[in-house]
Amino acid sequence: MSKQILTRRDALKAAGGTAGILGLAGCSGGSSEGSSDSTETSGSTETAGSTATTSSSGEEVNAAFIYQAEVGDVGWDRAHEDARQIVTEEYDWLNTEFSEAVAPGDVQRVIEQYISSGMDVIFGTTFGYMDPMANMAPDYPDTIFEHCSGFRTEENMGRYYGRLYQARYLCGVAAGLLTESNQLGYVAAFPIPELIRQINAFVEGARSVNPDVTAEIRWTNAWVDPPAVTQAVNALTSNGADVINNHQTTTAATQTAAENEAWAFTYTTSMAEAGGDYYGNSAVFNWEEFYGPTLEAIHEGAWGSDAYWDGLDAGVVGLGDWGPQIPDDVISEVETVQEELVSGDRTVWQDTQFEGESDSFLFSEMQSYVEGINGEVPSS
Amino acid sequence: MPGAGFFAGLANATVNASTVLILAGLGELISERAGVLNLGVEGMMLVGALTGFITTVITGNYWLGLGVAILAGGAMSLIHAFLCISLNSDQAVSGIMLTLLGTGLTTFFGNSYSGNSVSGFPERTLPIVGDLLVEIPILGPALFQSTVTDYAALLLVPVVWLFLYRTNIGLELISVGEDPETADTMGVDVFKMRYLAVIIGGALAGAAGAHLSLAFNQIWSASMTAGRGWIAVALVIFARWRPERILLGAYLFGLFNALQLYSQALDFSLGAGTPLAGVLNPVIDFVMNPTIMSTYPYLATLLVLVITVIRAENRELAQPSALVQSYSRETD
Repeated sequence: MSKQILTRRDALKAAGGTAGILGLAGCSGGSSEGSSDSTETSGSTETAGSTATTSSSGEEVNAAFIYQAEVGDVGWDRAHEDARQIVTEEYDWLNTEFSEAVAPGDVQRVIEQYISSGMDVIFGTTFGYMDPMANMAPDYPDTIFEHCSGFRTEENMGRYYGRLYQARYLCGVAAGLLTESNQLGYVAAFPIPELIRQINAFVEGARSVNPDVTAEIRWTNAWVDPPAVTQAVNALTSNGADVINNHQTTTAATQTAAENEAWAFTYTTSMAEAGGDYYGNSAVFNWEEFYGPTLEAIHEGAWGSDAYWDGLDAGVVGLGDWGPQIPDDVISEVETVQEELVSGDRTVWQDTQFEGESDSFLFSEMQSYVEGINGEVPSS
Repeated sequence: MPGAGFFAGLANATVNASTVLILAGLGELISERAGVLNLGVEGMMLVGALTGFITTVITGNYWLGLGVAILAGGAMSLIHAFLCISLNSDQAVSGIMLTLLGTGLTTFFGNSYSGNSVSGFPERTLPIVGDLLVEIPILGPALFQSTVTDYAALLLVPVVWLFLYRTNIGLELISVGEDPETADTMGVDVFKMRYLAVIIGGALAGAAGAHLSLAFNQIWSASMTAGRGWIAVALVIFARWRPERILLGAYLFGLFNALQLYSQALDFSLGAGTPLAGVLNPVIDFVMNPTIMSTYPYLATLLVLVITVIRAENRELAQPSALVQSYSRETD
């Protein structure tokens, strides 16, 4: 049986003459391989033998993480990879592996190879993996599947996500305090509930401290189109917006906002360098707050399939580091609001048309703007 | 009704969006006029964008970055030239391969640069008359408060026109694209000329990429060209292979691009009392939908194709007669 994990980076290494043991070296090594390509190449046939025993002993947990894109310096996959490194460091009974640049069409093959190499749990981190994972799960009842950002579960497949909109709300509170023109701008990719929810929360946060705030949204209809993002930010700032937030897989919005002397907020990872003196903060995922407890449950044999959607209270979402020029009173007010949200004294959707809506509505059906946002959600 | 500020912003965005199309479009036009279709524009642009960016990050010199981007685009196009001109491979296949190769390589090697930013080409007014020109309402700031690459792109339009139609080498290049056999008989080195055209095309695509990463965005982001290479290919057809029309087409396509973002603040729908409002409003919504608007460059190109074919009096399409035809000398 071949135990090789044939992802692209491994295929490259295999071509370099270390084929056959690559999937295993990482398992038995038990330590983070970081983002470097070089750490796995010292494996030998001995490691292959030892891995087979460790993975079946029940003591250790072998976890595989699969990312759709290459893990860069910023963005979605970076946040998952950072968390993987944190939990790998933390638990000596945990061995992890990851594959990057796995297209949804290839994920089934990658998962099959991970399972055959003794992985106990598979974390799939992009929406496109949902159907392949849910379809495979019944065929592999001894493997645990965990899928991020989707809506399907199986007996041995859970799903997980973070209430990032709560962190967006906190950015909004800061924006509402910082703005002088009372106009916010937001550049977003596609008008889907996930993005609309975060936009609404950002604007609600701003209006909770500054009811005069209005916001304008520009849709680029692309996840990555830096030139269009820059054009959109230019359009927003020339219309008077002095705080810019974005939902894009690029630093272009943060960079352009700072160039136009508007405060820049963003998400998933810090973009402090791009924002410079105008950098505000970032609504970030701290996925280790999910991966840690979940892996512990698996380790203790207490795991059960569920739909995880936690927020500030669990720490799975939060804010990053503040920009260098954000006044202390703004920061302390945001911290007060954060405490109120965690304690339940305040909710994001209070006094909006979404107050009291179910999680399933919030998760997948929100399709209109809250008060204060100009225009309407375009039909997609 | 939108005010002057709206139109000034729109004009500025249009000019901004057009520079990259002018540069890449002129390059592709030169290549195609010599008979070589190069569908690798997107890939060559990305390679130019990344190599220029990395060079600027390391050296801090954006001029050097631009130079390296031009060289890298040219080097990339050499692959295409070798395959298509020397080995007579299929031009479409080779070009698409070039795009895929460029996208993959830049995603891989650019990975650790995706959070970086550089200080690249600043916006400047022209010397002496610049301060006056920039006062022109609406168009002034759009045209005369720009980066060097913006000015260079505009300047290149007449330069390429003069090169193609008023120099011997330009006319030889065109003749190679029209009838390589006759050109060969007349003593024109078909292979050399086609190599030259393809390399110029690659160099300009590289410059177009560097304009994005060093002047316009000043960041690197994987796949940051987002299809502009393909729009440049469409632009050459839209322009019917003439450099002066590249300028016109680039502004039109740039306007579509800018409108897509600037129109989102406007409400075009008719009031409830207007006749036919119920019928027209869904049409207006559809026409002004940002996703639909992003297809306008391609629709416009198709329209030009259809119109020219309908009106065609003796092959008026103006396509170089020997486009996509490989040439090999008879050996008898």
